[in-house]
Amino acid sequence: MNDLLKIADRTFNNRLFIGTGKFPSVKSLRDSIIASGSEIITVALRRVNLDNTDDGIISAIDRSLQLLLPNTSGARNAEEAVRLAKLARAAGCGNWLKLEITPEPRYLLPDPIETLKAAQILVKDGFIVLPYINADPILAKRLEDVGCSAVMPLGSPIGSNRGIKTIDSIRIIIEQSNIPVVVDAGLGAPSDASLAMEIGADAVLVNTAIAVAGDPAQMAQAFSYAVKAGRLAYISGLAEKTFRANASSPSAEA
Amino acid sequence: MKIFVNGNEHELEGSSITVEDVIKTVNMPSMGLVAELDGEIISNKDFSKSLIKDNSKLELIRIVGGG
Repeated sequence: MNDLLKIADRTFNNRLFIGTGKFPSVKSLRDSIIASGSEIITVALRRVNLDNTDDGIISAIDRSLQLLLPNTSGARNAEEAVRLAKLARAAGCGNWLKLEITPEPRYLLPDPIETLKAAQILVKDGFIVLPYINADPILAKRLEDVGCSAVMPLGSPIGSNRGIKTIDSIRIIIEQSNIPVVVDAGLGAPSDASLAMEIGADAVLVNTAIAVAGDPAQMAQAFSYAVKAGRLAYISGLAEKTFRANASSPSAEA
Repeated sequence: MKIFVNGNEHELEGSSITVEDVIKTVNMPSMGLVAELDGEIISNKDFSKSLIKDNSKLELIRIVGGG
């Protein structure tokens, strides 16, 4: 089946994005990326710790198979996000960017005003911008209008594993969006990823649920199946829900 | 000369010292690395061309895991 995901000028066969934080080892990350078949991999940028220079994360990623999607995590406002974006580009990450501005650490919820401001600046500067947002349909449209290439609404707070608590708003975003919708954050189990795909999300991003699993590579594979199953269900057309029974066997009189 | 690398003071001998020389001094692999020299972003390919001044502030930033 030819069912490609198109974002900006690129097409992808796989609809599961993988985040690279919290993995127990570089090997475990590499195995998980391979097991997932993921083609879009997020990374972050941090000031180097001069006492501990060993972070070989980049060696786990095969740039011929996977697109690097650096994030601006750690940014608390538009200015900090723009700086991180430019650093990522100079570090050789290319011009794709997950724009992420989280001013408070307790819930790590994204700041909509600073995100829109930064998106405008970064789109003009030639970045392919995929903003991490709360599931706000109006904000999603505003970001589409300023030239973002996808929107990434959250299911629940980052790393919380609570699944899609924002489902009704995500449905509205999907209904109204002309750019891909990638459900990001909070997907704790493969069934959460399936649900996102069943309601018509174009892709999902998963990090914590895979990275902290007992067997990350196997969990990556489980999420990969779930995303494929959910996508197939969506494009096949799900049956309608009814309150009352509708017999699936012929009635007795017939 | 005296420089600051990620906020830590370093004394360096000689002249015409580049960002690349400093990275070697602090024993840092340059893969996935980017620098900011006195607020200006320096990409990996320009490390060997960028000269450090006395009292320069050099920030070294690396690609790490993240979601």
